[in-house]
Amino acid sequence: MHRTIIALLLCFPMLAYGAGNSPEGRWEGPIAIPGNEVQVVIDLARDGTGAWTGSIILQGLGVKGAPLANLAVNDGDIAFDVGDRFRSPTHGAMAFAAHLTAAGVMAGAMRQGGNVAKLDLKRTAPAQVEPAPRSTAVGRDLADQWTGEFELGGYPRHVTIALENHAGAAATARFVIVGKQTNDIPVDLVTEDGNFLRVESLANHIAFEGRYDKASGELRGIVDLGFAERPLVLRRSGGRPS
Amino acid sequence: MKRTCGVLALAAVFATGAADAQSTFRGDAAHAGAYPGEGPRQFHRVKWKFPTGHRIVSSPVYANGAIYFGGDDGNVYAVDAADGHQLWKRSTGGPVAATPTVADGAVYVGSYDGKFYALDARTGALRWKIATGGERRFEAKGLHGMQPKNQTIADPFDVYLSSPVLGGGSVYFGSGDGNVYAVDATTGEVKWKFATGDVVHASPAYADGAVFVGSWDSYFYAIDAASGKEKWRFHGGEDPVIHNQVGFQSSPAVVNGVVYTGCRDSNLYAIDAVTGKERWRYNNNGSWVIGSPAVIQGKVIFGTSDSSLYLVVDAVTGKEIVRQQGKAYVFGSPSVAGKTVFVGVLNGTLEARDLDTGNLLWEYYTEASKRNDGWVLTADRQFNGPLLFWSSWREVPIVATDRQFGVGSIFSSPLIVDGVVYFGSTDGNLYALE
Repeated sequence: MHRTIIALLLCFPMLAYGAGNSPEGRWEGPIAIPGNEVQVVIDLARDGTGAWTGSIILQGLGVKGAPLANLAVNDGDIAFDVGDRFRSPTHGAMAFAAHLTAAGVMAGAMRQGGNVAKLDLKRTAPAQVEPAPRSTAVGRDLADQWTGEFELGGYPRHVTIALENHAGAAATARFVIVGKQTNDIPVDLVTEDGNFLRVESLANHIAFEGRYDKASGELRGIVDLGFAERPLVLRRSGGRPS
Repeated sequence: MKRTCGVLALAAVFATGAADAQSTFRGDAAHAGAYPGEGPRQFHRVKWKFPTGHRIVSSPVYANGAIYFGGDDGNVYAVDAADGHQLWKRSTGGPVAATPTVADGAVYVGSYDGKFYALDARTGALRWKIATGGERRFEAKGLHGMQPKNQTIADPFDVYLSSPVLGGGSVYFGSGDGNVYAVDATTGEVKWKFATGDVVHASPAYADGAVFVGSWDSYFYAIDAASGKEKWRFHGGEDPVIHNQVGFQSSPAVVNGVVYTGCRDSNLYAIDAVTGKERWRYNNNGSWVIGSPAVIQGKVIFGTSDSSLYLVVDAVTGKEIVRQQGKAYVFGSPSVAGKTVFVGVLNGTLEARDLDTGNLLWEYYTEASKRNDGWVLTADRQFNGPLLFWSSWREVPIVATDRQFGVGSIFSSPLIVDGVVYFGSTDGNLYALE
């Protein structure tokens, strides 16, 4: 009997990764955007706490293993969005809503920019959910407010980065650039990796990356604006940005 | 017999009344952008459309019953204004992204093949052609933040070629070789060349014995039309990092002794035509002013790129009179007929607006924009930037730009003749609306 089950699993691998009403697994298929069909891969699984988690691959759109945001699974209904990627200022995030059909297909729609495309996905393999990048705590020397200045297009830009550690959790940062106007940049990731500190806004393609120089007490690095990099030296200024 | 009928039909087309004010880019040599008669205050129908198979950036002009324009398929076209049937086409060796000028039975226009042509307006036969130093697009390393930063990238937004203007028996035009040319209109002999520091794809205006044109070298020039000597130069903005906020792509209008020109440094400038001194500037906070402003009744009318604004400012003071929020980039030049302003938008919309209020009277969507392949547009017809420009690396922004222009973008400056609006679209059609 045991042997029979193993043989069945080998012959019908779908049975091994949760066919039926559970959406767990890897789902693949086309998104029918007119004139530009996009192949999508969605991985859905439960994490150690039993909560649903997932990631997405969008072929041809530069997305590999992006975490699913606002993921909701109710019976056979699945809904999620892809966060800030492809977010339209007026229409919000790229969002998916689908349900599992009796035929084992994940059918539904993808919405982006107010447009709607049909979605028809088949389960192809066990889930391979990609872990989302996570912030880390930063060294005690770094948990402070830092200020500096760089030049772009003939104008000075004042930068303030305030780093804060939280007990038992990752650090957070506030990242403000003041040029002609004040830009309070949402920070997604704060990481200290070896000597390097990186404060990053994924949606805005803006980051500070630098090294702490103990002798001078400065954070020396670059501000990456996506379209240009500029050298930036940050000095401790204490307090919090206004 | 069939041949005779064809000849008679051609004769009938070319025998109708000439309208000099519609036979050159922006209507006249000063580029005021004002056309005689009234334009349609309401949209009734597509009178005809003429498919070319490739995008049209050129603006149509009118002479003697025929519409002339260039196609990116490399042809110069003459089309019957009445019914849209082709009268002739003449091939060149590259996209004809310039607007022809028609005068004295000749059609003058440049091509991306680096040649400048004079064709017979009735038949399309070649009268003469000359070679410039060759065409090229504006290019720079790190252009618009595109990567790799150390690679020179040709600007996908440098879509136009310089449209010629006639004055004093000469035809004047700019070139990708950085020169402004003055050529004898009859013989094709080059009278003079004026060297600038970069690509000249703006179209010169001619007024009071001078030629006015800007270059991508960040300078705007006034050149003596007879001698080719510089009268003055005006310095626009610079952008040494990503070369985004630099260069005169806009073609000037010269009205009442003032030069009005847009600039990629996001300003619209009013410059004294005699002295070259700035009178005022209207800043658009980073948005380019690519089109040629229309100047009429003391008002300057223009559109912006990223901020997608339709603006009317006072011609003397530069103070804002009208501001209307549009949906997408405006590269095309507004054209005025009576109390109506017509302007093409890159999302494939032709807008008709009231001259006084700027209010939208009607709009027409090109066929490609209604298809919206690849979701280039959002549901409310804005450009879907987040989906298209998902990376600054390699070809992604270039492909994205090309896709943007696939929705029937209207780069063309509308032409209004006898209540009909003509314009080209990147969906390959020349449209006639009434």
